[in-house]
Amino acid sequence: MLKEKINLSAYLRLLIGLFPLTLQGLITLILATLTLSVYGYGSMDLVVFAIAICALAIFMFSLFCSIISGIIIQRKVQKLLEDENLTLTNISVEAGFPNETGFSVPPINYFPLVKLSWEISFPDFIKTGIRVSDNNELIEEIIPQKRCKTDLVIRQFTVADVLGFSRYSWRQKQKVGFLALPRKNTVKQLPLLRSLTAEDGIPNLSGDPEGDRMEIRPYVPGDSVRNIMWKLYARNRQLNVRLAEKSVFHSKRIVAYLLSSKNDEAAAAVTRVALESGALGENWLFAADGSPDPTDNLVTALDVVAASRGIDKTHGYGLDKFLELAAGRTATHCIIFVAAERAAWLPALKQTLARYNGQLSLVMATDGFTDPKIANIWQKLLLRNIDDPVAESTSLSSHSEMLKLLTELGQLVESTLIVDRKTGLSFDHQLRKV
Amino acid sequence: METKNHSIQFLPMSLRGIILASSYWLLSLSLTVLSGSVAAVLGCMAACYLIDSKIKRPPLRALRTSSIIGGCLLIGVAGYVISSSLVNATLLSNLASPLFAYNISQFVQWLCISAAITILLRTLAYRTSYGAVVEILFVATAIVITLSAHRNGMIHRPFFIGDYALTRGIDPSTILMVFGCAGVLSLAALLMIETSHKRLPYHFSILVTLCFSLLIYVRLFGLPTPQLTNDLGLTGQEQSGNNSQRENPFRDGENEANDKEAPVAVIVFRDDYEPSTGSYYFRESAYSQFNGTMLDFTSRDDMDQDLIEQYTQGRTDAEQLPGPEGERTAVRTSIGMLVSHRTPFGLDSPIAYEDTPNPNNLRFKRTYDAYSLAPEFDFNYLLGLETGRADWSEEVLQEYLTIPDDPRYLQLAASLTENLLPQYKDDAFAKAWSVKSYLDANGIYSLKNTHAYESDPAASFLFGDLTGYCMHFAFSATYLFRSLGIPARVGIGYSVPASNRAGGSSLLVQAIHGHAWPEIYFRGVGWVIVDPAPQQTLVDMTTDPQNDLQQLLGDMLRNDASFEDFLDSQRSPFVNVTTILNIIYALTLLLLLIAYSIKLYRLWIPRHGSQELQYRLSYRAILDRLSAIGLHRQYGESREEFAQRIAGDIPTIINATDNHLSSALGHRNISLDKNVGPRDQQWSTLRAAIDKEIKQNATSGRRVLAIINPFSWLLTK
Repeated sequence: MLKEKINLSAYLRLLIGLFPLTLQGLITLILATLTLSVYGYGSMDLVVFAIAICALAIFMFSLFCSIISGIIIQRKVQKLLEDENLTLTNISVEAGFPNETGFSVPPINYFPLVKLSWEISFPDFIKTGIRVSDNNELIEEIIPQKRCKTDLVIRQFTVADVLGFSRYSWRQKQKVGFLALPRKNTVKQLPLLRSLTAEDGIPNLSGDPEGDRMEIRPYVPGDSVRNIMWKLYARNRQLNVRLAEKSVFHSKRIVAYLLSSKNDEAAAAVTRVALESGALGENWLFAADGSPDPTDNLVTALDVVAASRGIDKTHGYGLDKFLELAAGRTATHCIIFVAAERAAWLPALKQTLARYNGQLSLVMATDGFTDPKIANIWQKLLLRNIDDPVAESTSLSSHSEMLKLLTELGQLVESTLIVDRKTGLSFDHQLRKV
Repeated sequence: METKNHSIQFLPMSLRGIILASSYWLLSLSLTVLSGSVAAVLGCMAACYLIDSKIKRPPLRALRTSSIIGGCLLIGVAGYVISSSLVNATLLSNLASPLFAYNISQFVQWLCISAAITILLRTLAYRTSYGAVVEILFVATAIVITLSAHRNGMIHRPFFIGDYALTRGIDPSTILMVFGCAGVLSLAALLMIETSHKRLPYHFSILVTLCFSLLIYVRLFGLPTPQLTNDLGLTGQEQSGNNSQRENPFRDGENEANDKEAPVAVIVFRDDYEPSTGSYYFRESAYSQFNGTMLDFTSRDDMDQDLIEQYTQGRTDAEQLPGPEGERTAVRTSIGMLVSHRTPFGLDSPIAYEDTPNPNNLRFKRTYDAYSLAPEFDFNYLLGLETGRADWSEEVLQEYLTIPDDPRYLQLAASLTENLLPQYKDDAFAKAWSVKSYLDANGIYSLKNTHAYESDPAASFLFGDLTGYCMHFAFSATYLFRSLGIPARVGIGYSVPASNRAGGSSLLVQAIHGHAWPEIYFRGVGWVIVDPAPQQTLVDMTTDPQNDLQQLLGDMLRNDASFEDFLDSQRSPFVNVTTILNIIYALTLLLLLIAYSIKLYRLWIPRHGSQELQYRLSYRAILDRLSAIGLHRQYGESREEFAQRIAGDIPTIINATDNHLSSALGHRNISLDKNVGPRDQQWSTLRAAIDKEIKQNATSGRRVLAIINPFSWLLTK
């Protein structure tokens, strides 16, 4: 029964899509006809008569042009998209920034009273803009709001008349690799994460100098002059050197996993930075919801980050399977990247954390902490709720909620780190800046 | 980036502001003083700027639409309150003057009103899908209301258009429709949202061209015409055969159309004539044969032979003349029908119609001259005259005497004539006059009546409340005349008060003048109108005389050479539109001729030019050919880059460009390709190869366009 209803509504939507008139066109048509009949002929008002006749003529011509131009341009675009060169070029972009996709439509100068526009309807959360080049070529520019990875791009083309009376719309598929990585914003490096992965080693002189804990000792011949603290020397005339502490790890392997949820763009961005900046060390394995098979290759890992957002459906919880594959046998340090929110994965994560024997760290990411303001009655009456498209791609967290969440999860993990993508700052489990 | 966006939006924003401000100007002109109109324009422009630049930014962005509407109401009310206080307070009046205080108050009031309405309109346009339509409705209403005085055929109004047209011999309808087209273009500009502003002129030129569809429509279907006279069966499709059965001529309460003042015809008197009855009667047809229910158009050929019921080319004479010319005077009138009529009409009694050239096809549906023998006798002359025509057969006479099978007609007629003086007891006219007097005294003229669907509406009227309109009076009188043995019929047409002529030679016939009246045939005189004039009336059927319109339409119909001369003398030599248009046509033709000549020359010269210059002429011809099909160099592009760009479609261009370059650098006598032959021969081969490639790669449409376009060579760089 439900399926029938869904089919019916889809069919109705299709029918409405085929109707070439816009609401504006429909109102204009009705008004022009009515005024022509009532005032044009009824009262012999020649001004209304002229306006109505011209309006109807323009309306008819616009409708004709929209449909005919639409059919011609549709064929043109189809040929363009079938062009092998265009199909083979994968689109690789970064969310939050304007990017050219390489798709463009030749000038439509000769089509009267029409304009062509399109938008990418699949994958979702892509703001499509059209730039007109000097030679009137229409060049596609997109700003993905969220990360994604897909092999198919669907565009919704619309040829409408410039007066907004009618339109001709169609969808065109393009088989092309499309990769949008999450926007890093101000998060450039993650030293705290790096120390998190390094500080668990046992301090030992035979170990490798890693991590950011510093060992300061007097200079001895043989030390690199680079490590001399020259500013200190300038004050006290004593040569000291500063060295990274040498340590030996229980295990060199870091396994990292990204849990996806509705507002996980910041988490994905932090994961991306962690992977790209080498904050996970040399030997790591990574997976994410939607691609639970571990990978140790940076390019593949970034693909996995991009693909971790389910476009059609949300991915299932895959952390248990990943841990089984990647960290089942040897003791490893597992870092889990999550959004700083109460998401569907919370109960399952708690169970996993309770079950897992190895070292576990949690990196939570957000786009800032806000507490919902309670609007007074005047604000409710006068102001409206604005659907901000930018807000769709940001992940704001409530300060109080975060503290509660951290208390719940903090007991189950070794360490917790909260990263604010908006400012690039990191916070500890009590939300103190570190 | 911000500045760039701002500059890009400035043009449409300003255009929209100007159009809206113009609407306020038009609307406010008749409602306030000059300071109010100026304030309305300023308020509109300020509000446009405010909304267009701030609506998408805080704090306006966060405000609910209802909050903005509330704000607009507050602004409006505040304007009204401040304005009232400025006028009522004595301080400002004493300081300056009462006039100054009033001007200031109007300024404030209209500033607030226009700002409030503009904010409302612009907000709705931004935030709702129907807002743009509301905005264009506002502008359209402003234009329509300003020019609405011309409704119902009063094309001489508004006077600033009527006077302008009258002095220049232009049909005001044309000016009004031009205003309408300008209105449409303004509305289209408001609606037009185009990414590429480069294309706006192109779109506008298409819209202007589309406005010419109005001309085609008017040529095909004509201008709107009034519909009121249809109730009397006067107007409508011209008939081609005999009178067919018409609809019930009686109407119940349907004669209340608001276009009763609409002009339907104009008459120009070529001979002077003043009716003794105070009204000009124009007969179109007559109900004379009783069909068993009521009087109808006759189906007999030997009845109503004085009527001319068909339009013909040339002159048509009536089969029967009304009587000797002694008691009637010949009057020629020119008639211009503004509305199609079923049959022609003419001043009582028309004896011939002659088709005349139509001086204005847009205005007049048909023009003709009517030759009439108009009555000059007074009613005393009719006393003692016999009725009926000597050559009528008994059957025809009986037809003119047949009445419904209702004894009440006879009884009433007998009772009305029983008090006549003995010497007039048998006098037809005296008897008829007593019937008319009865109806004059007792009938009540009203358009609201309920007789139409009775089996005999005339009986229902006559023996009922005696409340009806001309059709009831005419039918009743005719039946009463006939019951007294007087041959009578109901004439239909127009009756126009003689005073409407206002001393001029033209007479305007309006829809309200549609009339029906009883007629009696007096031997030797013809059909005489004995029209009852009820003394009591429940409806005001008087109309204001439209002297200006009458004169305007009369001048159009007269179309005299002298009038044209007068108009010519009135025209300023500096604004002679015809001359300017002729100059434009000539210049355009000349320009086209020159452009084609240059185009052909540049294509032809390589074949006959000197060998030295062959490389330049041939390469130019090749580039011309390519430009014609839309392949031309872009700004900043070198010839080599251009050749590389189009090499996919026209591969030979690379060879030609290299050849041209090498020749231009001095190697003019060295052939690059030894196999081809001399240089000019080589260039001709290149030209032929490129022609072939163009044929293969360019669509046929492009190739046709390439031939037609006279200016394609201008694109060659």
